[in-house]
Amino acid sequence: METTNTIHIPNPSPELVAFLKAAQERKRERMQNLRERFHKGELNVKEL
Amino acid sequence: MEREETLISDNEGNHLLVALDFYDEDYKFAVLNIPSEFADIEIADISIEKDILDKPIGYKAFADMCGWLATRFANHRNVIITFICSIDELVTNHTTVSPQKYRWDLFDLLYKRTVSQKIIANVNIQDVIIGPKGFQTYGQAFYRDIHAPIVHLIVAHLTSKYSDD
Repeated sequence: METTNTIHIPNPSPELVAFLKAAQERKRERMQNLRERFHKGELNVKEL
Repeated sequence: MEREETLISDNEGNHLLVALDFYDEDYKFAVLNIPSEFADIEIADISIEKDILDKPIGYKAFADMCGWLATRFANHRNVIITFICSIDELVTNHTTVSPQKYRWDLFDLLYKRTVSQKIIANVNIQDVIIGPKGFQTYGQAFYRDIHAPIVHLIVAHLTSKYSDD
């Protein structure tokens, strides 16, 4: 049985906002790296 | 930070780039405040992007992505997987909702289909809605029953430390 709970942080602290923005920037950089390696032919495509 | 990643073709000329980033010890203890007795827990965050951003992606790629993520979840018996929606702009016709809300709705739909097709089971979800004051995004954590106490501790920490209310 799956359950779902929800929390709401309507007024996030500046600390949390800064953390989330930094995390998204790191994620953006990693995905750009993945895209570049793909276009250089360094990665195999998963054909399912 | 360790990473597992894949590229999935939609067989229509576009690809999904999908990655799971496993957070290091500092993040688990310093940011999420996980007690040391749970040091062996793995926390991994999902990243998803289209290769060609302005080209639609076929549903097949999303379905295959769900299968890949379900396999990762099955293989890592001690993992909590999170999905924090990007606020980056989307190239889409869906202009009535924010990019992050669109991503949240789409991922939720994909998850429900994956469960209904019995590709994955016995997964709990913790939804996290952040904002709208100052910032707006959405997140989800996927976890097994055995890890519920850890998720509850993280949620309590987030709401007590990171909310200005």
